[in-house]
Amino acid sequence: MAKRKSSRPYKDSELNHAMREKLLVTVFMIALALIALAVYLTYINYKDGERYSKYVLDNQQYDSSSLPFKRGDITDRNGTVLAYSSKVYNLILDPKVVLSSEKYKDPTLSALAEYFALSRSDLEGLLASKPDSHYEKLLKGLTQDQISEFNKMLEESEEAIYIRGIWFEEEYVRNYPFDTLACDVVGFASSASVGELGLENYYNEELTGVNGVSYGYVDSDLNLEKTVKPAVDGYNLVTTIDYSVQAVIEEDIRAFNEEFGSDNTAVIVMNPNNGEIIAEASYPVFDLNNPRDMTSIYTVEELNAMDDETMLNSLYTLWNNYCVSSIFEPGSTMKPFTVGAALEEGLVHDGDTYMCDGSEKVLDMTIKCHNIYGHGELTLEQTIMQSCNDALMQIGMKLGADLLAKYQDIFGFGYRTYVDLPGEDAGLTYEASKMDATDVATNSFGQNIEVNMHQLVAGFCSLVNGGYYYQPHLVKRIETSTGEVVKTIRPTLIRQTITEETSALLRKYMQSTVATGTGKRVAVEGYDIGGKTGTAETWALDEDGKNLGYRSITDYVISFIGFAPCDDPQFVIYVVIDNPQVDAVGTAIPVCELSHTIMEDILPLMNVYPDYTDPNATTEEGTTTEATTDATTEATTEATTKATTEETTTAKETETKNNN
Amino acid sequence: MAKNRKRKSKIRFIPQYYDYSLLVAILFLLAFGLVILYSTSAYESRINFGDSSFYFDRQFLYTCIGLASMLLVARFDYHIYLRFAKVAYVVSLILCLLVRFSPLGVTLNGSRRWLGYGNFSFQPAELAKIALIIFIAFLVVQYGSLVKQFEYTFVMLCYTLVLGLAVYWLTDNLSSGLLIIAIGMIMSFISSPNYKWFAIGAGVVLLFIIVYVFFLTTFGEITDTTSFRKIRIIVWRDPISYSDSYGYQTLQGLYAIGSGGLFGKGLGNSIQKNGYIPEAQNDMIFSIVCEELGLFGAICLIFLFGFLIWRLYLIASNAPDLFGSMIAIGIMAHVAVQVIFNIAVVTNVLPNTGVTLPFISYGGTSVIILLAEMGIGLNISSKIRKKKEETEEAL
Repeated sequence: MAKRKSSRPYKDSELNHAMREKLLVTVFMIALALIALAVYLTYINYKDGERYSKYVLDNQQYDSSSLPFKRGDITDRNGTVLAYSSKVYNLILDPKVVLSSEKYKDPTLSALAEYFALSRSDLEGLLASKPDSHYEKLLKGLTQDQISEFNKMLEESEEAIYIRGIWFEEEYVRNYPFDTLACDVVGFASSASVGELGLENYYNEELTGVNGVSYGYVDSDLNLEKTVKPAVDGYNLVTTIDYSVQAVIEEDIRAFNEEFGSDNTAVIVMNPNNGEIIAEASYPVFDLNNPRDMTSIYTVEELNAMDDETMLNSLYTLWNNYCVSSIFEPGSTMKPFTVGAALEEGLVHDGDTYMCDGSEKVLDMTIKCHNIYGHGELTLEQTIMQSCNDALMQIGMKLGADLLAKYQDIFGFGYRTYVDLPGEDAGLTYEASKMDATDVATNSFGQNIEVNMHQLVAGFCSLVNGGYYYQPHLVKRIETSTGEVVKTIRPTLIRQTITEETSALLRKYMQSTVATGTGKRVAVEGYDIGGKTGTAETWALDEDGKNLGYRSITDYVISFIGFAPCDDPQFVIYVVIDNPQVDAVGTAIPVCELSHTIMEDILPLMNVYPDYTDPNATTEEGTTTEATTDATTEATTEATTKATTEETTTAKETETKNNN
Repeated sequence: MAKNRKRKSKIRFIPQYYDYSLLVAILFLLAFGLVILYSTSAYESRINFGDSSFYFDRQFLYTCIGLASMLLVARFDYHIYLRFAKVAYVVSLILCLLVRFSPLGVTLNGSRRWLGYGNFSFQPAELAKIALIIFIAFLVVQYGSLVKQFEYTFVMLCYTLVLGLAVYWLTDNLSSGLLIIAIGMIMSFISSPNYKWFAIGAGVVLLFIIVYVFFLTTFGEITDTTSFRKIRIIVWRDPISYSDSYGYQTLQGLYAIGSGGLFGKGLGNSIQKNGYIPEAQNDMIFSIVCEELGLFGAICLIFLFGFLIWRLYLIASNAPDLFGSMIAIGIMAHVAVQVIFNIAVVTNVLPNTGVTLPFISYGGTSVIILLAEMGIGLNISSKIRKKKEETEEAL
């Protein structure tokens, strides 16, 4: 009741007229203030909107980042991958971000310690020493597996928001699945865009792609746009190499060198009908995945003893591709070229005979045949079969300096073959005008002229394929990363060297050489193989590798060049052993045996089938026994004559050479 | 007692009239506020608490408590506040004293503003606002026709100043002190028929402020000993010169407003909230509204506040009695002044005072007290119908 009474007077009173008026004034003023503020907001947007938007965009992080391209793969002719790039991640720490708040440091460092086994104290030290840095590479080459757990934790953990300043930089690393296989040919890349040797270097431009970029930009309406320009991956190379053939050859080379050893052992297998190089191996090898590791050829003590320069030189020697960058005197493998040239010029004919008396007097010096007692009377075929120097000198004389030099040009000696490998050495030949009789004589059997293996193989291919000189090449196709063909490298026919008739004769001569001549040891039962051996003394060198000006009696380059089958050669093989550490010094026996092993292994792989034209198995057996006996006799002969083998050089010759 | 209850229940059965427009406006503002608060605070919340909804969860809880208290308060006849008016005023003063001088005072972010025990804490300054509204309304009713004499208005202004300055000094809270003084002045202004003295007073204060600001900006230099309120005034006139220090927040807020454009960057797309405007969920939240929703969104929000004020004006002018009218006026003044101050600060029209945006900014006590005030407003509105019905009955 009391309440009611007391409240009564208030209930009766209401807003009076003045109050209503002032209330209206107040509301009007409030409305005015709100409208004024709305207008002012509009004004700010109108006047400073654009400027302020830019300030705000400055706050936004739209830094661009580079997206790495993938270097192209290198495969063999059947798609076996010889080199590929795989994505890896580098762990990057941004100390400035980590230190931007006390909350970040501890969880971040703990996570690094836990997931990447990094020392906490080291990280503390790094943060203390480089607090303003934005980029510290902590770990390199992490795989997806190695970082996946950390990334998973980042997504799932509650604590993850305090883990700051860690990111992964993507990168590609080069892998060579077969380590040492075709190391000199494939080469290695030291970074995604730098190929160092071999095909990696020669086709660097094709293998290298274009980095992509991811960046933010501000469009005309001042909206932030994020754009990704994807990386363009490098092209893939499909080589002419056959992995199986290459692997078998390398295995044989390795076995030979483990048993005997040599300074260099190199093999090239080429298809004479198109110039494709099917295998190209040289020993010693190195691991492409670890090209600076020389522990395979030097002991730890030796390596420790090396100074930087020696180390570098040793590496260069190791990386040297004997097949293109080394030149040497080919020796008797040159003889078919001389005979071919003479046949082509009509200066000699099949069936002509030559008299070998063990030496030939040229100008005022005597150049001996390897059989110092003389071969006696030889037919043209037999001069090749017996590898007679005396007869070849006579044929060379018939050709004369001009024609000899002309045919050296025709066969490509003294010119780079332009095989698709870097560092090709053009070799050393004489100009016709500077060639004297001694030079003609020695050149005719492959001395006093230096060639690289590709020159000899390419030229030889034309000798046995009917005279067609194809440019040797190692890459048959260039493809995009998705497999579209960019370029197909077709066989390049450079010139006709000799006629089909001459070629057929030479094939026949060399077939006999392997059947019953000096190349007998190469013969593989049931197969029809032709070829020619070569033995050449090398120049004696002093410790620094300087030419001493006389022939070494212990160092030889021995070689065998062959083909199969004889009537339609499917491949040419050239085997070169530089300074073999064998007892039979100065003979071609070791190279014949190695060639035999390789032939035996690769003939089935090259789709060359045994010749069953003679089905009489017993006769075959008998022939084999006979052949073995022959080989032994031959070996003995060669052994006895080894001291004088191709002892053809004189001081005069050295002078001539040096004058060049 | 039994009699009382019976009478009350009788009233309750009369269909309650609520100002549903006001209610809808409030609910809309709350929902809008929560969405914007979540958008604004998620980043900082994640950084500070590892949980992007930390601020949102708490604000949601406060909003629920506030809504409950609003509905509860709306049930109480506002006339009961007549009995508590004096007590509320005195208690508010005592609470302010407790903040300053008792161990219950809690210091957060360098300001001793809260009273608390354990997990519970609240700002007496927020309570003081509603206490003042009720007290001034009570005074107006009590003075009756005497209110026309300026002496009585002066007394009301004095009470206002005492509480306002107490809140400012004792709880270290300039924004609430200013708000209280502004609310008290508006209520006094409306209750008094006088214009002259108010005009003179306003003129003098304005002149003083202009001179003070002029001197401060001309001769004032910011040193280590300069009080932060002086700094704020100096920075207000020239934020660019202090863009890396005191002017940083203001400028970043302006950049946010300016970069919004007509329709903004879209909800959730603010760049500035990501650490560039510190504690954007507090008094700078309006700048994020501008950035994300653009001019359109900002003006819609202003319009919504205008609508709220309009409804409170209608309640004030139609209230059944003077007490109800004065309370509604006080509530209206509270909302209006807070909105205007906040937006003025964000746009750098006024120096930084720390006034929050009603229903939108983060803050527990603020939203609960505001909603309780709205409850009172709703209750007053419910009496309008009753009064009309009575009139109808009389007819």
